[in-house]
Amino acid sequence: MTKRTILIDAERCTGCWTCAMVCHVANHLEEDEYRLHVETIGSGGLDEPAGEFPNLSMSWKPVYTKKCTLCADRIADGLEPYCVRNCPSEALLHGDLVEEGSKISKRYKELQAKGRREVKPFPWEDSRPEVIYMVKGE
Amino acid sequence: MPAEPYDNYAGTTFNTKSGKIEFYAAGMVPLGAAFADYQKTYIHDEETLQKYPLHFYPGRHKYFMQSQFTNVPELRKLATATQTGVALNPVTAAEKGLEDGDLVEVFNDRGVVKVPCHFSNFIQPGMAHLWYAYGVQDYDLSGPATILGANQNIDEAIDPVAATWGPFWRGVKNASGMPEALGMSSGEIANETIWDVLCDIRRAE
Repeated sequence: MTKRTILIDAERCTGCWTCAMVCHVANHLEEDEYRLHVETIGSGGLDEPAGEFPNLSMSWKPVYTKKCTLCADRIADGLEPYCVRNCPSEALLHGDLVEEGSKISKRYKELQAKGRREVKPFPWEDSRPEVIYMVKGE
Repeated sequence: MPAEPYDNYAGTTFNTKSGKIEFYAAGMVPLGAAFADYQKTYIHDEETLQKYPLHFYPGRHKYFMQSQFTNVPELRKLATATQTGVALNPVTAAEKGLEDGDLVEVFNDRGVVKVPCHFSNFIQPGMAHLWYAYGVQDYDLSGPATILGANQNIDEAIDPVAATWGPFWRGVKNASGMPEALGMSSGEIANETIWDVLCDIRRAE
């Protein structure tokens, strides 16, 4: 039994919404239907930074809701999920974290060596449990 | 479909000391400019600066590519959720006596843009920011944002001599096969990025 994981390098996410949009378009979803969306970590609004100028901070995180299927059909064909395949900054990785030498487990160790911390999705986000965020700092 | 995403920059080296794009340029440390920083508007016209103290900035939107994709409803929703109308730093807005959401007029000698104002710490004090790329149809109450700016790269803006000889000289260069970009860096005309975009802002009646 393989353990499938979506590994998100929070430092690489630029908040471009490509993951959410490609999922929305490729799965032919309704106009306001998204299986994942990108949350801005700032002062609350979309792309709104926290703090006062010039001491601002802002980052993003893709949130995978329970509607996400992790692209089961594409995985069966040996392809990556749409979001992972299209992420322009390679912030997303999909694979078997347990398997020794897989791309994702290598990257996981690499990020750990850089001092990144593993964070699980918050319970109130109703997120897929397979998602792991790698974040900087405490 | 290839297994690996196509990398446009694979194996590319840049003409810098490190061979990389230098966001942090170590060689510029003695000058105190290792990072690219905000520079004051390149306008020496003090008189206009007194009249229009704000720097107007039509920012390029990350969800669009110039005006491409502005007809995609999903992206429009995202873009307008970030900001509709003109964004001001709360400090600038307080000086002008404005409140968040007020209908305001951004104006200079060239025209007026009538839009709601939006407070954001994203924007530097002294600036008025509107998203570029929205067409004239998106401005119900006035002209579009682009009417406020004028490129200082045009011959007339540089000097009357250039206005007379500029087109002729360009014709000669084009005929000889000299690339346009080379002419820009040869010092004959100003850099394309220099725009006169001073403006002021007032509450709309």
